[in-house]
Order: sequence, then C-alpha cells, then structure tokens
Amino acid sequence: MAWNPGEDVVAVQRAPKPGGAGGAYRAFGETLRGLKTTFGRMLERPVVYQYPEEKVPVYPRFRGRHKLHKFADTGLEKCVGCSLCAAACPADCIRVVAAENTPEHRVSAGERYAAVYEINLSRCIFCGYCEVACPFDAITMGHDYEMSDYNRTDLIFTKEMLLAEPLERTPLRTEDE
Amino acid sequence: MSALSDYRRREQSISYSAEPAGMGLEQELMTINMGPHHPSTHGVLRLILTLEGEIVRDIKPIIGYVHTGIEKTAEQKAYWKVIPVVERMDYLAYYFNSYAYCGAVEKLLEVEVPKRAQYLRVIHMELNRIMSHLVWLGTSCIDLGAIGVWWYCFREREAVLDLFEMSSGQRMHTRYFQVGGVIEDIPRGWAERVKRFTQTMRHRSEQYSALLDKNEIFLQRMRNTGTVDEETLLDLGVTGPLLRATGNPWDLRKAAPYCSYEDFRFKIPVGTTGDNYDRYRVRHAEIIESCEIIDQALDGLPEGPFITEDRKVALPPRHELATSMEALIHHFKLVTEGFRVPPGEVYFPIESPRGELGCFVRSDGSSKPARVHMRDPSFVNLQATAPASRDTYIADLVATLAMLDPVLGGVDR
Amino acid sequence: MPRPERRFVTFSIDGREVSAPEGVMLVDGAKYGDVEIPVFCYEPKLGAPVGACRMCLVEVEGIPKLQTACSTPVKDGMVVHTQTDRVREAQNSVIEFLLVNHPLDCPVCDKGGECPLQDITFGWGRGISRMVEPKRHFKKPLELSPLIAIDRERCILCYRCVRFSQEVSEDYQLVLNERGASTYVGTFDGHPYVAPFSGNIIELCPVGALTSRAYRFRARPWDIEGAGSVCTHCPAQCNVEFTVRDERVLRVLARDNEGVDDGWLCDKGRFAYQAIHSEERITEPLVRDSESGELVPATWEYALDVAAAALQAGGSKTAALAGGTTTNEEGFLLQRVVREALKSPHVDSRAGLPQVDLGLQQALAAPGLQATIPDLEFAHTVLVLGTDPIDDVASLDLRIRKGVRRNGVKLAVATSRPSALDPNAKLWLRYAPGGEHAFVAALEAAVTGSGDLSALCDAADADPKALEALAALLKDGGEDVVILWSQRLGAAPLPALLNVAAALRLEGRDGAGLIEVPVGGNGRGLREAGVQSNGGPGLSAPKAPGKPAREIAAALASGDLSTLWLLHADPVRDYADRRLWERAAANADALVAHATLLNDTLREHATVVFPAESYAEKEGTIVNLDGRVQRLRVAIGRPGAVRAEWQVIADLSKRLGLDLGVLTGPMATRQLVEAVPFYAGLTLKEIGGRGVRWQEREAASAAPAAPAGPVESGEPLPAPRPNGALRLGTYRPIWAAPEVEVSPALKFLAAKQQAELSPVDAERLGVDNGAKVSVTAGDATVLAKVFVRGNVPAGTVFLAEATAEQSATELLGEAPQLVSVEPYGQRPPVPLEGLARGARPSDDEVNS
Repeated sequence: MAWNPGEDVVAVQRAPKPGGAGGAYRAFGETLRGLKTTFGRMLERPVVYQYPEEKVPVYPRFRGRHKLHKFADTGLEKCVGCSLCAAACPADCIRVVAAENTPEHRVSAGERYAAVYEINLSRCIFCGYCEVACPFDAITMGHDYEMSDYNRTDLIFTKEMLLAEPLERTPLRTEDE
Repeated sequence: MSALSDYRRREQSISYSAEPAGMGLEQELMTINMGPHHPSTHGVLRLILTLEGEIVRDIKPIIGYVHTGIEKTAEQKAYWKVIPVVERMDYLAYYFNSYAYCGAVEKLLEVEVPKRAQYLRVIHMELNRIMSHLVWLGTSCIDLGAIGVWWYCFREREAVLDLFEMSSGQRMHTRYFQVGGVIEDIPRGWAERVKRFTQTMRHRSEQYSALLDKNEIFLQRMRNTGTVDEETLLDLGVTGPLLRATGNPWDLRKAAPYCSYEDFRFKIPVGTTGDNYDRYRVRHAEIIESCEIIDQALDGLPEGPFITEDRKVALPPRHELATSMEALIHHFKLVTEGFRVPPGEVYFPIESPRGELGCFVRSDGSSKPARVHMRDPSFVNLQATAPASRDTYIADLVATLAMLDPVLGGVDR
Repeated sequence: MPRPERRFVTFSIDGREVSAPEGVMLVDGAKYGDVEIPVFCYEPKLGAPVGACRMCLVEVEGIPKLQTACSTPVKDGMVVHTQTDRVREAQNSVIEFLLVNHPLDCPVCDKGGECPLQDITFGWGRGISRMVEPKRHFKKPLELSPLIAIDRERCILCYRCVRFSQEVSEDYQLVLNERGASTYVGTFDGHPYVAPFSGNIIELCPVGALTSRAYRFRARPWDIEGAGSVCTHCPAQCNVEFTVRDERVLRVLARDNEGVDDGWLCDKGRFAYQAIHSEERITEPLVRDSESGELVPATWEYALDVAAAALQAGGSKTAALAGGTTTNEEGFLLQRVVREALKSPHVDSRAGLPQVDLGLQQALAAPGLQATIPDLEFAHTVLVLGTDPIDDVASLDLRIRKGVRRNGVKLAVATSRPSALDPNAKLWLRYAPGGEHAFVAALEAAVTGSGDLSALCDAADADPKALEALAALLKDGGEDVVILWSQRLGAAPLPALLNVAAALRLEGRDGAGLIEVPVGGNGRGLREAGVQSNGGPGLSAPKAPGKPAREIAAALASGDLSTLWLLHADPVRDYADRRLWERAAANADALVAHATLLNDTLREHATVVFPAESYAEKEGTIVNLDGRVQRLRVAIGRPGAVRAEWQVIADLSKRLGLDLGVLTGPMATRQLVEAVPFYAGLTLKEIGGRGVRWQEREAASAAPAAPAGPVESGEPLPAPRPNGALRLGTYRPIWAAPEVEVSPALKFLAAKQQAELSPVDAERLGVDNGAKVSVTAGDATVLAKVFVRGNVPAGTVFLAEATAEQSATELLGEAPQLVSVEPYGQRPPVPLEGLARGARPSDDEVNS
C-alpha cells in the first residue's frame, strides 16, 4: 500500500500466547482483575426500568405517536387539509381528503379542512417528516410509544383518534436525567 | 425470465456435499446448515458448512433473507425522502448510511455544508461508531460465552441511544442528517452530556480490557484463529478493522478526509497478524479514538448555521413560513417535489464502523435519484468468512464470524 | 390562408448557435436550444403576446434595455443572453414584485403543487422576502360562475383569462376592472361568467386565482394519477386527461392535440365527468320481475340468460340500435351478433336520420375528398353548412373562430337557425327548415352556373343574391375550401353537395375538402364498423339490407319486429318522432338495453338492462370527424358489477350459439381491423395517444373512391310555406344530455325547452321573452318559453331537441312540417321594445 499515514498509526498490543506458566497466572490474576469490575458493579445503582409498571421517560424531541392540534382559543383545528404531510411521507402512510369550510360548518381556520385524516401506523416509520412539512404546526409527533394492537386495521388512526389526548401521558425526562 | 433461470442455475451450483480440494476421503464429509435463524450468525445469515468431524472444510454463505429493495425504493422517492430509507440498511450504522448518501448528493449539488453541521455530523457519527462497536463487542462475547460483557456494552449503548434521542428525537434511524447539514441544532445541555459520556466510556473501556484482554479463555478462543493475511483481504476488497488488524493502516478518515476529519487528531489502531484477537484490539482501540474525536469536535464546535443557507436545497426557517411568501413557496416545493439535482453521477466513500461505505448516486436532473447504490462493507467483508474459517474448528467459526461483524441489514439491503 | 412556409433562422442564445423558425418568439425559439425562459402571461394559443408579466426578460445584444422574450421574434444573427447577472436580477425582481401582494395561501390553494408561480419562484426566484408591509386584500373566495371560483388576491394580472374570453372564445365577458393595485378580473357587468368554454380559463390561470368549483379541495397533485383518453360526449372527441384519485375521476383536463381539439375543452367535456359517479348510475344488471313487473337487480348469469332468451325469441325479428359512447369494437360485435347469430339485418346507428345510399356514403368518405380539422384553420374559405358547431361539435367552434381571427379565413355560414358564428362570417345565409335539399341544389346551381337558381332559392326560401355571393366566395376566394356539413342535412341534399365539391375541385386537394359532423359521439366510427342498415363493416354492402331506425320504430309499433336491443342508444329521447318510439318501445316483446343511467323508457319497458361502462372505463377505438381513429383507454376501474361491453356482447353471443372469439378488448379491435379494409394493419400501438387518420395510411387505398362525374341530385321538394302557422326548425343544444342533468356542477345549465321566435312573429303572437307558448303539430303539443331572437327569420320557430322535458322530437314527424304557436295561459300581451339583440354565442346562458 503506497499510502502511509506515518505517526498517526498506533499498533495494538499483541496477545500473549495462551497456556503455559503465563496462562496459569492469568487464569488467576486476570480473572481476579476482571472480577473487580464485576463486583464493582454491585455498588452502582441499577440502570433498568421496571417497565411496564414504570414508564420509560423520553426526551422532548422524542418522536412517538402523531398528534393533531386545535387552537386553544377557538377550538378550530389547526389542520387545513393541505396534504403536505402526505406528500412528505416517505412511507406513504398518510391519507388526507380535504373539504371546504362553510359558515355553518367551520372546522378549521382556513378555507379548507381535512374531512379525512388517516395515518396508517403500521406503515409509519416515525421519521417526523410530516411534522417538518406541516406549515401550521397542526401535526406533531407526540411522546407516546405504546401503540401496539392486536389488529392491523386498528392501527389506522383516524382524525378523531389523533386529535384526542392520549389515555396516559408519557413522562418526559428532566434536563439532567 | 432469464434473471430467474440464472438464479436457479446459481442456486444449483451450490454444492451441498462438496469435496474440498486436497482432502482425502478417510472421513465422511457432512454438510450441515447453519442459520438463517441461528443466534450466532448476527442476523439472518445462512451458512452451508461442509464438515469433516469438527473441522470446517468448506463454507458457503447464503444471503438475501432481509433483502428489502431499499436501492430500488430510493429511485421512487424525492432526494430528501431517501434519507430515512437508506438509514435502514445497516441498522447499526444509520448515521453513516445517511451521511454517505447526503454526502454524495451534496457533491452532486456542489452545496457547501456549514462547519458547525460538519462537526455535528462528526460527533454523531463517532458516537454511532462507538455504539456499533459496543453492539459488536457485546454480541461477540455472548457467542463466546461471556454474557456479562454483553450487559455492560448494552448499558453504554443505551447511553449513546439516549444521546441520539435527545438530539434527534429517535434512538435509531434518526434522519438527523439532511442534505446540506443537519435538520436541527443540538439541544441545550447535550454537548455536556456527550462530554460526560466520553469520560465514562473511557473508564468503561478499561473495564472491558480488564475483563477480556488477558482472559485466558478469551485468549484461547481468539489468538491465532480466523487469521487471513493482508494480501487475501485486499484481493477480496475487505476494508475497515478487518484490514487494519493485518497491519494495513487504511482508514478513509485519514486517507481521504471528508466532513472536516482533517481537523482532528486521532490515531489509526492497527494489528499485526490479522487474527481474531487483533480484530478485537483494533475495534476496542477505535472506541477510545472515537472518544478523542468527539471531545475535540465538541471543544472546537463552531458557531453558525447548522444547515446550508441555500434556499433551493434546505428548508427555509420555520418562523418565516407565516410571513414570507418566498419561504412558503420554497417550503412547499421542497416538501412536495424536492430539490432537483443536476445530472451526473458520484461515488462518495466514508469509513463506517465496518469499513468503506460508499454511496453511488446517479442523477438525471429530476427530483428523484435515477440510481442509488450502496457499497456496504458488511457485504464485501462477508467474503472473508470462507478463507478465515476453512480448516478451523467449527467452534472457532462462531468466534470468527463474530469478529467479522457482518450486519445483514447492510448485506442484503 | 394556407399554412405559411417555415423558414429557419440562426441566432445565438447563451453562446449556443440555435436554428429556429423565423418569426417565432424568443421564448419558443430558445426551446430549440434547450434553454427555458420562464413565462406567466405568454401562451401561444391565446394569440399575440401581451408582455404583461415581464417574467421573460432577456438581454439582446445591441438593445440597451432588457427585452421580453415572449414578444421579441427571433432574427437572424441575434445574440441573446438569459444567464447574465442583469437578467437574473430582473427575474428575481419580477418574482419579488409578483409575490409582494400574493397571499400566503399555498397550503389551502388548489393550485399548490401544480402552480407555475410556485415553480418559477422556486426555479428563478431569490428565495428571500423583503416584504413586511400588509398585503392587498380582496373579498374571497368568490364565485366567478357556478363552475369557477375566483380568488382575486392571488391574481397576478397576466391577462390570460381575459384574452381567452376576448380573443379565443369571443364571448367578450371577462375584462380587467379598475386600475393599478385595485385591478381585478371580472365580467364587465358583474354577472356570472357563463359561457360554453368558460372552464378553459381554469387551466390557463398560472396561479390559483381561477379554480374549478367541482374540483375544489378534492385532491393534491401527489394524490392523483393522470389518465389520457378521449371525451365521447360529442363528435369532436377532444383529447382529455382524467385526473383520477382512488378510482374516481375528479377532473378532466385538456390533452392538447393539434389535430383534434387544439387544447381547448367545452364545459360539457370538462365537467360532465361527474355523471360517471352519479348516484343514479346503474351498477348491476336489472331484470324485469315477472310478478311485480318492476326491474330488479339480478346476477349476471341470470340477466344474460334472460336477455339471450329474449333475443333468441326475437331472432330475425330483432333490431339493434347503437349510439352514444359506443366504440367501434362494440358496434362491430353488435352487428356481428345481430347479423350472424340472430340472422336479422336490422341494425342502425344513424340516430333516426334518413338512410343514405351506400354509394353516396362511399363517395363522401373518399379519402381525397376529406378535409382535416386543422384545415379549418388554414383554408381560404370555410363553409359551415347546416350545423352550429357550438351545439353539435363544440371545440370546432373555437377552431373556426381562430382561423377567421388569426389566419384571415373567409367564413360563410349557411344554416336555417341563426348561428353563433354569424358575427365572424363574411357571409351568412338562411334557408327554411325543410329546404336543405333545395338550398344545396341552389348552391350547386350557383357554383356550376347551371340550373334554375331562383326557383331553387324560392323552394329553400333563401336569398338568391346571397347564394350568388356565396358561390363567388367559394369559387374565387382561393382554392382551399372546406365545407363543414351536418349529418342532420339528411340524405337528399348529399348528391348536390358532392357536385358542389366536384365543381370546386376539392377532390385530392390538400387543405380542402368536406368534413361531416355526425350525430352522436362516434357516429362516423359506427358507420365504418358496419352499424347501419345498409352498410356492413368498411362501408361494404351487407348481405341483406335492413330497416333504418325510423322503419324499425314503425315495424316495432306495428308488430313486424318484436325485439329491440339498445347499445347506449336512447331513441325515445334522441331520435325524431318521440311518440312513434314510445309506441315502439311499449309494443316490443322484449327490450334489452346497455345503459349507464335509467330513463323512463327503460324503467317501464326494458326486459333486461345491463350496466354499461362509462367512457372513462372503456377501452376501444372511436373515429373522429376527419377519420382520425382514436383510442379510449381505461382510466378507472368499473364500479359495482359493471362488465366490459364487449364481454357482455360476447357472452350473449355465446348463448345465442355464436362464438365471437373475443376474449379481450384488443382481440375485438383486431377483428374490427381485419373486417374494415381501410383500417388494415392498424394496431392500438400505432393509434397511440394522438390517434391516426386512416386516410393518411397506406391502407386508405382500399377505401372506395369518389365518383368521377356529377351525380344526379334529384328534384328538391320546396320547404313548407308558413301560412299563419310557423315552420318548425329544431336543434340539439349542447346542454341537452342526460349526463348534464345528473352532473351536480352542470345541472344549472341543463337545457330547457324554449321557442326561438323572430320579433315579427313574437309581436304578431303578442308574446315577449319568457312568456309561455304552446307549439302544436297535429295532436302533439310542446310547451316552451319564448326567446325572441332578432335574426331568426320570420315564419320559423326553433325548438330544442332532446331536452329532458317537452322535447321538440315530440313534434317531429316524417316530413318537415308546420306548427301552430299559441300563447299559453292567460297572459296579457306585452309591448315589444328593444328586442333587436345581436347574435351572441352565449344563448345558453338564457337557458339557465
């Protein structure tokens, strides 16, 4: 090989030959050295969570199940059914059918609203592009990660399901957790 | 039709009762199947072994069990939508997959990536390298019967995944890298946490050393097993830690620096003989070197934009969407149709945890790639299985396979 | 004017030597060198450029200021730059300027994703906004018409829609009101913009200012697929692209085909797709229940069995009629079954019009005598004879207007009813309804200079002087003469028409000839496929001549025939003599029909109704006016239990003991091509997306040739004299169709009966616009609203055919006749004032 990185190279230590007198020593000495680590572990606190009794908290940026939002003051849906999320979705799991708001039946703030908004969570890859694409912050990735179900069709989330609050809130991690 | 018959012909060429050359018939040969659902094949690798007693006389890897057509899928998607798709190939090196792809597209677009984005990419990629090596070490040790190391490795791996979750919202397949930079800046407090992690990691890696380096059983299993010489590996196109374990210091981060790797001081650990023990030591040393790079990148993290300010490539800032018509239109077009890439083709290689990961992208000028191909190191490195395991004990085959570290998601794509 | 010769000039653009036709604008010339110059207002189809948007600024060496590429023609040796900093700066600035007042509507705007403003901003804009001030506001969204929504905030004032209205459709309704920043598009009088071609402005609009109300918020460009096919609602057969989402047609767009439609669609073609998904659509076979006497849903097997038994029982006393959207293949298979399996010669597709002698048909179909549709644009003289294109073949109306306006075509209109093209015509003539034969004979006399012109004119009630002027125009106005004539002229005038063509030496002349406007979407194709009483496939002589439609009706009514088989045809509504057809349907032993929608006839008399495919679901071929074989392609899946028509016919045939040997649609096409000599070798691939004129293929030599000498034109009968009674003239309005009535968007346009009267007759009757009159012939009466038109000749009343109610076909008997018109109800007569209205194409507006 013509290329030589020079002094940036560091050779790793070669293994000693197993067996023999060294081997006999290592069988004791090195094992004890290793056991130091093992017993040292006993002093540390556990790192596992007692899931599902104890829910694993997530970071604020965590992308879980999608949520659709409404305006707090007017109660109108933020989603105007523009379908940008559907266009951005690499897994093609979003289906939007828009309709027009009428003065008698006003659903969203704009001219149009999503008459049908479905996310097929069995196809979703949680990339969050829908959230990136949405110009109105109408869809965000929530923090809920417990979505398993017994039936594929139940994994097609409708607009009502996405607008509803989750049954149980997922805990968020604090700054230094 | 011809493709199918070609496949059938090749399938038939696999000899299930091969008689390896230079072998007498004193003992009966036995052909057995290993995998694809064997715990020590690290995924769905299937091996056809021809055994003479306990000795492996021939070995044929059979792949394709997790073929998902990712390269073809990529041709149907706009450039930015390919990122989450290619990330899913080698599922232990998602940052590398997306960087290889983004880097190729950036080269075609001739877009300049801001320095801060480059450093953030380096930090994430090196964290990813540590994470990948931890999974390798943990699972390898399970194969060798040392389950304790597995717990320790996965504890640290969790720490890395937590960091990924904090910075990019997902533990795996984060789509954090975008063409032109990264999708958002790191959150407050993240850098400190990474620093804390590298400190811990150095400490932990010493503990791994204590457990493994001179463990008599480990030495018995590792030393002088699965040895392949440099020449053979080069002939096979094998790269990464496997090649470096033979003493060849080929590392693309040094040999052809990308993404500001030239800014960082770090060493290339190399072995001497190329046996399994060298492979272990090289990867182990790389964890420490990665910690070095991360620390330097965090210390020197420049201020500035985290994604290119080229409005024709990167999404406009979100706050502009409510006021600027230009921004809204650009957002709309980038999201729905995506940017167009000038016609041309490019190959962009980077150093993944397993070797040279290259991404080939051909553009026809539209907003979807005409061809995306990945040179995945696992696929190439898998060819070393036979030379490394021929005429060794079947027990050593498991150790060798663990040290080859193939990720079948990357092999099959 | 004949097509201008194209000369090429060489100029340089961005350092590249490019050769482009002389006189084209730089925008188009640049395309020859693969350089794209962005435009908003430029659209060659709209005529001369206006340079309104300034998007196309380029630098031309030798001219100090930047030039608009859309209005600068290329010149030899010109040096053009499109990539310099000055040009970039100008492009950036124009976009910034256009976006200053553009609302942030992309997410709610229907144009989003297919919007030239977005594309050009993304391609040529700076990407950063400096605009912080509040934007201009208009009230929105508003209805420009029930079909079109207008959002004035989004308008960039490119003039496209206004130019369309002013210079293409020439309805002169759209204008730009006000000035400066307050400028807005609207009708000059504030009324809704209702015109037969209004929908085209939706496609023309480069922003989301004009959007379709029917398509409003239905889908996004990434939700949909485009499926190219052909519209079969009228014989113009415009090429369309269906916008399909989830197996539903949501929109129809024009698919520009210079040889067919020139890129325009009428509103019927654009919006009547809604009938495909009508709630009233039949989606399963219906069979009359013997107990209840009602049509009830049935399985296919049962329905086919019942229908086959009925047809079997009918045997040679069965008659079949095809019409509407029937393709060549379906017609061909139908006539095979009827002629071969049932041994009955009675099959027709001529919509009840008189049977034309086969030799005459062959003469008229001679390839050498056939003009093409683009010829209408480039001829010296065009004669429109007996048809009003706006009603009969809508998109040709625009084609003729284009020829007159841009190429100086001399247009002559000879019709009995005032035509929408009259204002564009150099010469227009009227003749009395029923005087068609006499009129064409008089024209022959005037052109050839033989025969008794004044007597013939008298018989046709036409002005001899005008006829002489017409003859002079045809003879001396240039050699390229195109005569657009209607099948509705009947059979008698056709020999004279042939003689006129011979005298003008149209035979074999490129750019000149005859074009027939058939009745029914595929009238020409069905005749060529052999669906007529006296003609087999390829206009060959059938083994035994059968009865034409009218005689079929009489025979059914009298019991000479027993079974009627209808393929997309609705003779009661569409054919003349409604009451005879009603009797025929009632008297038939069995009535088997393929239909998409139920009507009263089927509801009361049908034995079996098969659910038929809509035109978006069909595959097959159809033939355009000028012999262009076009291909219908499947755009959506068939709803419910609907099956392919060829399959149903083949299944029926099998039950009748004849295996047609058709297992797929293309197999039917192959059989048709083998049976028609002048289609020989034609493949679906060859037809492709643009169609192919069979006259231009080698196999056309197999077509019968035109006769050498003059043909005997017969003695014309004089048109009836209105002695107190009025002559009855009829026409079929574009909006008189069931698909209009069931399309929610178009419903408001559905034709209602109206009596068009001259002011003289109106005054005599003491009626005014909107008054109700009864029109009586014999014991049949039709009620209609009066519409007084200044240029209706006195002594004639015009009624619409095929309206849902009170159709004029009620009054039409065998011969042209007189009707008596009486005021209906007790309305005091209103004095007539200011009735002299100019002829306007937007008469349909009054219908609504």
